[in-house]
Amino acid sequence: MQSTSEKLKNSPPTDAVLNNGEIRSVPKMRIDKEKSNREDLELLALISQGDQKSLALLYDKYGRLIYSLTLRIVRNEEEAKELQQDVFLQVWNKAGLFDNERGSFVTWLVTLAHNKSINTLRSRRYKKSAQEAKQDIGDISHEATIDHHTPLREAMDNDERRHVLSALEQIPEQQRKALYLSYYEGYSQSEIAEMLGEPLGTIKTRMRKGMMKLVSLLRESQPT
Amino acid sequence: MLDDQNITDTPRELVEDLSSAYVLGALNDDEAGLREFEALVESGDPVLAATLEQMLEASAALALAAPQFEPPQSIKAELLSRVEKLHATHPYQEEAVRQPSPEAAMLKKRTRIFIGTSIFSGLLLCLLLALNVSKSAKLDRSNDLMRALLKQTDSLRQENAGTSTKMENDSLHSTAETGPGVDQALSHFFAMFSENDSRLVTLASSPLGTARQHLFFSPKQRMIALLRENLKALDANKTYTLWATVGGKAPIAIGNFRVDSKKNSPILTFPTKLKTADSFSISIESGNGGGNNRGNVIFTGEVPPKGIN
Repeated sequence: MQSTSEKLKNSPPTDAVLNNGEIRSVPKMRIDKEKSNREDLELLALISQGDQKSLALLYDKYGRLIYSLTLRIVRNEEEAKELQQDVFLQVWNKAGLFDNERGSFVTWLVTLAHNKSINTLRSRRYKKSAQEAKQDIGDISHEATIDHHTPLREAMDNDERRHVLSALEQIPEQQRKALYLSYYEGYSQSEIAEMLGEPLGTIKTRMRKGMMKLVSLLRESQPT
Repeated sequence: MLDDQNITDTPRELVEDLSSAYVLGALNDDEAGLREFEALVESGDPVLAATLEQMLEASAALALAAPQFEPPQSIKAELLSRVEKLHATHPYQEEAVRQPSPEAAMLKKRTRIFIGTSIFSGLLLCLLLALNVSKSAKLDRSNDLMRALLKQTDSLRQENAGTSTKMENDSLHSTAETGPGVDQALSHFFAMFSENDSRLVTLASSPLGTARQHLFFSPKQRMIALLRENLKALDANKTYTLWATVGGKAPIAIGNFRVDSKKNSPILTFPTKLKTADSFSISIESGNGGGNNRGNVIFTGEVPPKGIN
């Protein structure tokens, strides 16, 4: 049977008629995300009724993403394992309470995992030196994808990941560094300012411009 | 719900500054910045909401930039094993602990409302003095409490002005729409302060944690009190449920309430059999307040290890 992901991959781009009558192609990635979110909501509905298989499916879909994120932040396998379980246990416990109007499930899931990971990182006061952090700036856009996943979902993930990496590469290095030190290393704005020897206002501006640039790039250049 | 004091005059760059820092987790040690951001979010400004949504999506995309690693199979196996154990008491399937009808008590004690108000004000003053001189590490939390209590006092005074006869026709909704009257709620509330096991729990709005709500939990008094101040902004036409989690098990419904109008006590009280709790949360009921609801969580917070006294 053809999986939903496979169907999505094989479906042609959908056209939308704008208010002015113009016909514009709706980016396929956006359609994929919307359908993916609908699938997630269906799984969440089943999970809220106690369906463990649905939780397993959701884990299969996002387990690698969440584990990779937590491992990248805490850099400790045991802590990453614990965080992974915590995150998905929270999904199990709160499935029926998820509010789709506040954003997609995957955004909520990633935000949850990120917050837990950063809290773990800060709680053990794990701080890298500015030099180490600087070294890692290049890694973020050049580290190779590890292709252990075999389903077609993998292909979609890789498409999306390449898209994100490409967008990050287009962001000026100083802005990217500010995003990186904050998101992956858990440093506050003032810590980054001190670490880089820059005024706090400069760091704030870099973060804002970097994020706005990322938002813009992710929206305007959807992959096909 | 839009506030008149919204941020339409706030420079867009400030909104973007704060939103980006917030979603990246960079505001965590910037108390002033965090409060500024929370104030903006509470204003309900649509520009901020849209910006924040964009930023959240972009920050989630950042997760994809991390090197991808396959999680060990043991994690999934252990997760499903733990879920299997939890399955018997699945979340939000537990029977809600409903409030006993307080109608009789309300009628009996209605005449004591002004006494209750006076005691409340007196205790509030004592509490203010005690906390102001203590200057402990809990100063910030205490200040939040004070602000909430002061607002409650103002609200209480306004509501009690000339309401002794009006109260006869009031249909109080403090708990499960048939909760105790104002005086009873206040009595419970005062009694909680005499117990050294009382906990002040700060609930943060979910999922972003941009608004705060205060709750008092006293195992000895077997009572939970919820300050209504920050609930005023909620939709008055909906029913809300207070939940508690204990020992990592499934949440337990403590009781339902509504936030409509001036008829309510500024303090909502919930009798409980709980001797301990890990966290509390408030959800919007998806249905009509019946037993098996799974509304969206709008506030949640963990119980601190020490009491408020």
